Amino acid sequence: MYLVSKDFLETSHGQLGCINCHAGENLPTQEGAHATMNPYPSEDNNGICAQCHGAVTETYASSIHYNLHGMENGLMSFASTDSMPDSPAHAEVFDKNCMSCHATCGECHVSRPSNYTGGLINQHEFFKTPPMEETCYGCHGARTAGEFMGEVGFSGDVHFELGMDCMDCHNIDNFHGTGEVGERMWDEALPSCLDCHAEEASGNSQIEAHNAHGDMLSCQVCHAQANNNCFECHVSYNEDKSALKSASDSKLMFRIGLNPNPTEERPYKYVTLRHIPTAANSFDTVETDMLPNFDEISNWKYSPTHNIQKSTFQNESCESCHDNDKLFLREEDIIESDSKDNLRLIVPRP
Amino acid sequence: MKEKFYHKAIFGALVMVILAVVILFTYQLTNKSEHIAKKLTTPVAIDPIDSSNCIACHTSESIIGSVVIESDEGHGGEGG
Repeated sequence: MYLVSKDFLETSHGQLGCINCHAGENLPTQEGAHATMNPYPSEDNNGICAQCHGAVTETYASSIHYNLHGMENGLMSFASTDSMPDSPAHAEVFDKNCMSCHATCGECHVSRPSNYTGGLINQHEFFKTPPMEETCYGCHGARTAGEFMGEVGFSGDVHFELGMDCMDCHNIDNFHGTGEVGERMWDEALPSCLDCHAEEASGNSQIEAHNAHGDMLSCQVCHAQANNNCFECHVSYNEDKSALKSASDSKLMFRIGLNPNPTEERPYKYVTLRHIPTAANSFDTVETDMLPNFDEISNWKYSPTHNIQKSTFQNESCESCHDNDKLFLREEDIIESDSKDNLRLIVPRP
Repeated sequence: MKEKFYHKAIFGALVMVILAVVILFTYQLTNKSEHIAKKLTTPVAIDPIDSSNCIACHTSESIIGSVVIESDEGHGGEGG
């Protein structure tokens, strides 16, 4: 796990010597050497990495991978308080649960995320482009990355099958940030299918269905497969109360619904949805009634599901979608613990 | 007459020296600001620190392999 290859010692990072980054003492005993050693030197974003890679660490402080603003704002939107410091109970949930997904430089470029398995990826080799299956998958494996790689659900994504990885579509800014602090993932310049497939845009396409549906449908409505949906997540403390761990049921489903939040970039009327695990009583372990706005915000969310295939069961023919109620979010899909706001996403039946 | 010539020459030399200092100072200032801007992206020199004892253990498969590491059983994969 902590074996270092001799090849690493010849690299520019390796030539610095362990102590430059990890501190500690050059002593022959483990106790002496490790007494002041820091196993995770990149935990301080302004620390040793910033010495040479200051341009990156500076923007990284604005990245949602670093500050988890997306999770923070998600939590606060369900709560009635405006900011985390106003509510110690919400801060407790955020710090002991959400924050475990915070990533440091080292957790992508040298080791696996500690929230996954931790440990060096390859004997301390530094990866300029982190290997997706060891890093991105570590945090996003249950859904997005797992579906992309075919580890969750049915087939993987055609782009993965053709050898592409996350970084082939997602700009570096999606990982390192731009320096501008965003509120959530959707504020970022995210990839669009049309970046590569411009000829398939409505009006330009040789495929009649593309022109017929226009911007009414997101690409995933016809080209994604079932995705992994989590339900009724309830967090509970671990033994020493240092972390809040979660447990939720999950189910593979494919549901098309009305777009919860149409924007200029994503104006679609119909989108693929995914159920997020949050329930009104998710954080009752910490304090009761922590999410008083729960019924104001849907917990079925727009999901640009990452398991694209050219041919899917819903694009086989017009009837496979237009006459198939089972593909659409229905009233019976809304369970007792769900937000009442989900009702506005149900597609009216003819 | 000769003395006047010497005074003029000394004055000229003085002006040239001052000009040279001003030019060099300006150049240095400009160069310094570029250096600060570049510092963010250009690796700076960090002196290596002798870590021979650390290396001796951490490159030895038999030593590292004998250390029992407790897994934190992270709950990876919960994320989106």
